[in-house]
Amino acid sequence: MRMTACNKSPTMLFCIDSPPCYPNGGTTQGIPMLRKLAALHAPACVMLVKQPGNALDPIGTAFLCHNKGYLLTSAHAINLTDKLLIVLAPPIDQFNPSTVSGAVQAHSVTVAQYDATNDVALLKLADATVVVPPNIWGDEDKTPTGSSIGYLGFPYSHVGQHALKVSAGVISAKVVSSAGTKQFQFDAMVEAGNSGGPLIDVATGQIIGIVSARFSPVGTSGGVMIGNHPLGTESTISYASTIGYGKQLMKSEGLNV
Amino acid sequence: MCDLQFDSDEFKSVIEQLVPDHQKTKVLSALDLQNATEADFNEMGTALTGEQSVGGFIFYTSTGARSKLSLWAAIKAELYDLFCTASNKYAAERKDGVLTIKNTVTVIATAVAASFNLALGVVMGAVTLALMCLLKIGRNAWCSVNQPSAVGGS
Repeated sequence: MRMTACNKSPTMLFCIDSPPCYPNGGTTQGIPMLRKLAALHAPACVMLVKQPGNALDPIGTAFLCHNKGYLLTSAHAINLTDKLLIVLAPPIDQFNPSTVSGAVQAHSVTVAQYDATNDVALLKLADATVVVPPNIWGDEDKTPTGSSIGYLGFPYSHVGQHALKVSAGVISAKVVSSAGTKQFQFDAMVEAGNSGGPLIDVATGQIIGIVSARFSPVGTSGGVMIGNHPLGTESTISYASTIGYGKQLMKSEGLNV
Repeated sequence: MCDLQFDSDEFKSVIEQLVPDHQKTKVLSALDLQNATEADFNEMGTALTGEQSVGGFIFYTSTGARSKLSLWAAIKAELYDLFCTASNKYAAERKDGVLTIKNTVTVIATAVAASFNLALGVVMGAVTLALMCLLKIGRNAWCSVNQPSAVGGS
């Protein structure tokens, strides 16, 4: 069940082949369906892994955000001292193995910008060009509470669930964390491995947040564990940092957003 | 040995020029700390490097465990090498008059970023804070507290 990095094509050029997914001639305006949202954003979602030795350990999700080979993810998913790579997901509309083992195409990334306070990080692919769909950025201030949302990620990837999962919910509140970070609270249960995935407004098809956490009614310290799974931490109150913090990191990197 | 001194104005200039926008407010606030201890700087530094555990009722949904390697400790180890030893690595930088706050931050940040394959901007804020701590506390006291044997060999 272990994944290892395949050394083929270390400087592989890959593209997000987006135009066939677009309604309205290449804009994301007016996408009403979760299925279209999945088709549009799934090709940009990747499994984030670390490489402590030969094996690859999944740690979360990231998504391509700029044609120069940049990705956004959650800061807390990353240890800055770890070697980081990404693994692409196969096309979402075909039947794929739920567990990937053996050698996989993995691409090294470096941490370009890191904002631990607001829980966002910008990663950079080495020697790769990607094509990211235009007009993917939403505005947290213009997304009302009650909006339908979708999110993508790799929950439980660390224990062998390697399928990119599309999920849905609604924005249940707009909150400010104890650190002062603006967050969307949404009505769905995110799992270990979802962190770093995009939160998407279904009405516009645009990314409005980066999935980061859920509320744990029993707290996060101590508690009963079965295997590595902490009991009682589940809830359908989940959080995403608003996308403005991601856009800020891209601007700090000198990228046009 | 170098005789670098704490200079609030020079630190402000360095922060303005080198530290990423999203870290500036935090790093600038450290300049105004009165009677700050090393523990205060450790707390601020590990907040910038993402090494603080957040308790309470927020359950982060990544899967990775905290690394045993600490970026903040690595930054301090690099400063220790420069200011508290006579190692060959920083022999040129130790020559009188060569070191300024700006080029010390740049030299240490470059070394640490290269070690961990990070962009320079990722470590600038933490390196600035660590150097601020060293110069505020005083080199001799800082070196004494941060001897490898005194900090568990890190």
